[in-house]
Amino acid sequence: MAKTETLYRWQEALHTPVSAAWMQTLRQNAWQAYQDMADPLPPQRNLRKAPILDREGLQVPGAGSFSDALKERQQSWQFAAALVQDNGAEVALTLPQEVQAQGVILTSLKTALEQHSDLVQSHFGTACAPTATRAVALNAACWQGGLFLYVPKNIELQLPVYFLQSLSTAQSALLSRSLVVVERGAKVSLVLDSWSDGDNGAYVSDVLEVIAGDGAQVQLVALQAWSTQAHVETVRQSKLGRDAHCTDLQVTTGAAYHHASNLVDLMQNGANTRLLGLTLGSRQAWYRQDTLQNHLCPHTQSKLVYHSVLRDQAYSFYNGMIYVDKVAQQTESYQLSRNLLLSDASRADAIPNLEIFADDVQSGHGASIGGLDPDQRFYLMSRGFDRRTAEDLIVEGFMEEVILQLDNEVLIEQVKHHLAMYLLGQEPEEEA
Amino acid sequence: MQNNDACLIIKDLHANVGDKPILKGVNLTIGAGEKHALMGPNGSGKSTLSNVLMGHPNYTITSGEVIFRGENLLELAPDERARKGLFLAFQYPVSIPGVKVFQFLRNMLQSRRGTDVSVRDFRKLLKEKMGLLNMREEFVKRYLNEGFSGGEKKRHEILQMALLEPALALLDETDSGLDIDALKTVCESINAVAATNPDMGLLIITHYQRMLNYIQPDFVHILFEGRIVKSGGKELALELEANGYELIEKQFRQPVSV
Repeated sequence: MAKTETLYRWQEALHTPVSAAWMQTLRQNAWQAYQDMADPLPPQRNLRKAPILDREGLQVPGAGSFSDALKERQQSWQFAAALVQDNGAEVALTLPQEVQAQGVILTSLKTALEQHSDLVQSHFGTACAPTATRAVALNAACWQGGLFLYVPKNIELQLPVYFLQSLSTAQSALLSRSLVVVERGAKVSLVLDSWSDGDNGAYVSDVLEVIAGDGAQVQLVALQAWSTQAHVETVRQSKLGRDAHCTDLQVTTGAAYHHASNLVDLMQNGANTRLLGLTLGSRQAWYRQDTLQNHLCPHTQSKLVYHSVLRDQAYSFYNGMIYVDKVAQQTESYQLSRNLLLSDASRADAIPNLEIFADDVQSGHGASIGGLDPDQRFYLMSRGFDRRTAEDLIVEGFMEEVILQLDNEVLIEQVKHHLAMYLLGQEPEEEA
Repeated sequence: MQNNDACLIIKDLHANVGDKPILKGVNLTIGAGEKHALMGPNGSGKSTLSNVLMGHPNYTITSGEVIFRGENLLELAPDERARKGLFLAFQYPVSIPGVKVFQFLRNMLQSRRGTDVSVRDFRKLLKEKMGLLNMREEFVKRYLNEGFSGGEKKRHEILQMALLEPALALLDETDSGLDIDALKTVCESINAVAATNPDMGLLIITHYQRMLNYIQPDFVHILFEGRIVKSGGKELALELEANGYELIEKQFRQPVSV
């Protein structure tokens, strides 16, 4: 690989010094690791070819702004606190006094390095090592955006914390790194809303680590609504303490290329995670989802349900792993990937994997790929629904099956609203 | 349309699954308000007939015609047939996860009536019809046929019939999978719907006679190898019950052509 100056143009520009010395060292090490590592080999499978992004043509994003579109998006949510970033820069922060008084910290990670350097240092990289992969190393070396959320012991927030990030400069690269720390017995839900408009190419790298203390309850809802030409890599890694619960819903509706890794380490007895995914692909979208349910202790539970609905030439590759360590007895794990193909040119591949070294566990996995069930359609049509309505009902039902597992009425309604708005924008123009 | 007009006229209907002929010339006329029973051994084409009448895409009509309330039924899509008043109670209703029964039923009724039905009016109507079927109100909070027991599925089909008040209802083996108490409840509610809609035609498709103990048919037809080979009054059903289908098979079995 030629490491020429042009190859690292925007990467080097983003690899700028930060205030905390420890982070500066970490960034430099990550930068070195990024240069030394080779890109991972693609899986030895006959997958559909991924679209390629001309990375050299990218630039550093300009200054951020709190545009009307972002304001409108934020206003559609109810929240306890909110942070908005555009082009990696903080453009709005809502942190009411009563929330702050409870000791909750919500800020950009950059600001957190100035104000809470020790706190950040004690957690940063403990769930997701800064040089875990080449993409993660690049992210660690060059991140600009991202949030720091800290919820102290036994604090419960009823309404979600809302984080909106967008990219408004065309042909640019956005790298953000976020850290969420939920202390023992605390409870929080976090909405991660990612959005960009238009059809311009862009590179987005988003790494988020979640550290949930003993008995903590965390709900994450991530809406990935990047522009149709964006190339996106997201890594989510969570580390769950004793009896901690973490529910995570990923809704992916945008991007030309999206490689999502969602990894959960169940570190202590009784930790429990539910991983939900809903992917709506259209046009030439290419999606890949890698998941890991990492059972490292006894009595841990995980359940994963990923559904994708693919239209046009959209493609989805699901690659999931359940790992059960030999000490992780009496664990329950489940993994299901279902794919609904709505056009002849859409395609899906699914590889559910199990690696189980304990001998007293329950585990299940499965995958299905297929078109709309003609018998379901006939049933609905026999009740007077026209073909289009019948098909929409079946698809909506397929999507709702995932969303309804959130266990949070307010979030369910808001996610459904978000999806309805998205689908409205997707309506093909009525034939004249 | 007048009362004495035929509701459904089937003339020399032939239908295939793939290349295989299943219906080989069915003739049947059902007048408004008439109750017909269609009986026959397994594989005689009973379910095929109901699916063909509703417009299932897996069947090809090779010849014949079907007139429903003065219109050529075979030209219509299944949803159009439904909106014109044809109803099929499925033998094996499919489940559709994520679709709630309440919304489904309300939308169904709206598309049949072609107008909005307010939630309040619909609740009232639903409560009345569910009372008829001995169904609990929690039922409508569930997902369409998902996790329903055999009896619940059949009751749900008849509930839909009660709401839609069709001009002609095809009941495809509604008795299968029902225990005797459930069968009685379901049949009583079919009778109740029929009593409030005296013009409604009924085609009861069944393998056994037991359902006809509760619903008195005006006519009984025997379908065998894709043709109606015998028609009569309700005594025909009793005769079948006594003798089984063997006699029919002996009498009407077509020699296999080589």
